[in-house]
Amino acid sequence: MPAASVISGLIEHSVNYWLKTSGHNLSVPANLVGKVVAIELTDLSLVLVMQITEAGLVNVWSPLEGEVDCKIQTTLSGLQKLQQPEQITALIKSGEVDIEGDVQLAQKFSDWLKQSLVYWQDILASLTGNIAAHKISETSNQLIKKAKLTKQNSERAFTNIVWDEKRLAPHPIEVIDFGDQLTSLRQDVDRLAARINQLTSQVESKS
Amino acid sequence: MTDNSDQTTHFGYQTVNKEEKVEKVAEVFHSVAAKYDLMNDLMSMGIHRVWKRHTIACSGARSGNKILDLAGGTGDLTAKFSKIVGSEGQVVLADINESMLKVGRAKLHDMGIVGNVECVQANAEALPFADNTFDVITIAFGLRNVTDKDAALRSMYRVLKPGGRLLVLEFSKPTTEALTKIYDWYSFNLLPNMGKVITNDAESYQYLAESIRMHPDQETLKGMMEEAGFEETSYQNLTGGIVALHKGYKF
Repeated sequence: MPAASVISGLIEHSVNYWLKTSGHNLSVPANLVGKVVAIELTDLSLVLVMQITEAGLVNVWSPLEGEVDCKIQTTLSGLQKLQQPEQITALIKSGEVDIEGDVQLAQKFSDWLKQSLVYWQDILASLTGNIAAHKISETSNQLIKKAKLTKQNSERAFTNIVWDEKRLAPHPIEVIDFGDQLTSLRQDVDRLAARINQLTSQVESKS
Repeated sequence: MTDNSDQTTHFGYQTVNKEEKVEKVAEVFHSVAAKYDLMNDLMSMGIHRVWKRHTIACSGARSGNKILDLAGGTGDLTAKFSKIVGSEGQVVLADINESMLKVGRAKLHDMGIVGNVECVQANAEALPFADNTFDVITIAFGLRNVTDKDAALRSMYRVLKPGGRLLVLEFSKPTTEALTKIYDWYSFNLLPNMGKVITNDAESYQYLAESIRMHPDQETLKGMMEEAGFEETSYQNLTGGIVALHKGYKF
C-alpha cells in the first residue's frame, strides 16, 4: 500500500475541512487557481504535490509526476524556517532549501493558507458548540497570558542572578594576578623538588 | 470439424461464447451496481481508495487536461480528476454498463460535480472518440471484464494523444506464496458470502474471484500493452501484488 497516498489523503482532507469550515476557500486569489506546488521533504523521503482548485480547496497527492509551477526541496526543519520570508535567501545560500520555478507563487500560496488561521475559533465552535468553544478559547488565552508572565519572570530572575554574580565575580586584573602567583608558586615548587633530588643523590653517593 | 476458439472466451472459470460473456458481465454489474461502492469498501477494507489515489497521482493530470475514465463505474476517479482539470479541462466517464453509469452520474450530481464531466456509454473495444483525443486514460478494475483485451488496448492507444499516458489499475498476482494462500482463502470463502449477505448475490462475487485468477499477470499485461503500441511500459505492484498499476505512453 503506498504510504505516501495515505499521508497525502489525510493532509488533503484535514486542510479542506479547515478551509471549508472557515469559509476561507471562498477568498482564494484567482492567480493561484490551478497552480501546482510540490514540496519535497528530503529527510522523510516524501513529496507532496498541491494544487488549488477553482472551489478554493486543495488537491494533495504523492508521488510527483510531470511538471510543476514551483518545487521546494528541503527538510522538515527547513520548512519551518521558511515561514520567515526574510530567511529564504540565507536558507538557499546555506543549501538547506532549494527552490525551482516561481518562488513568489509558493509565498502567495503559504500566505493564503496562513490567513485562514484567524478563523480558528469559528472552526472550534463548529466542532464543540459555541459555549464550549468560548470556554476553551478563554482558558487558552489565560494559559497563554500565564505562560508569557512566567517567561517574563524567569527572564527577570535570570538577569538579576547574572547581575549579582557579576558584582561578586573578581575583576579580570585580579584573575590575571592570581594566575601569575600560581605560576610563580609552581616554579618554586619545581625548583625545591630539584634541589631535594640533588641533595638526596649526594647523601646516597657519600654513604 | 471447425476450430471455434476464436469465438470463445473466459467468464471466470467457465468457457463461454464471446457474445455470452458480454451479457453475463452486464448481468453481474446490473446486479451489483446499487451497492457497488459499499461492497468495494467492505471487500478491500477501504484500501481501494488508496490504490485509486495513487493512480491519480501517477497520472500526472493537470489543469486543462482531457481525461478518459474508462470502465469508470461509480465515478471515483472521475470525481477527483474533475477537480484537478478544472473548468478548462474535461473528464469523460465511460462505462459499457448502463446501470453502473446511472449510479455514477447520480453520485457525481450529488457531489456537485457538473460542467466538466461527460458520461458516455461505450465499449472499450471500440471507443466512440476521435483519434488523439485524450491526455490521460485510466481503466481501474475494468480491463478484467473486457472480452477482447487486445482490441481494447489498441482502441485506447488510438484515442490517446501523442505524449499521453494510459494507466491500468487491476487485480493481479500476489508476489509471495503466503499472501497467495491467504488471498485465495479470502476470495473463495469470505467474498461470496459477503456478496450473499449484502447484495443477495453470491454468484457475482464468485465471478469476481474467478475473473481475477483468469486475468493476465503483471508481465503478460505489460507485454500486451507493448503489443498494442504503448512505449516505456512499466508496472508497480501494490499491496504485495494483489493489485498492479500498469503505465504506458503513446509517443
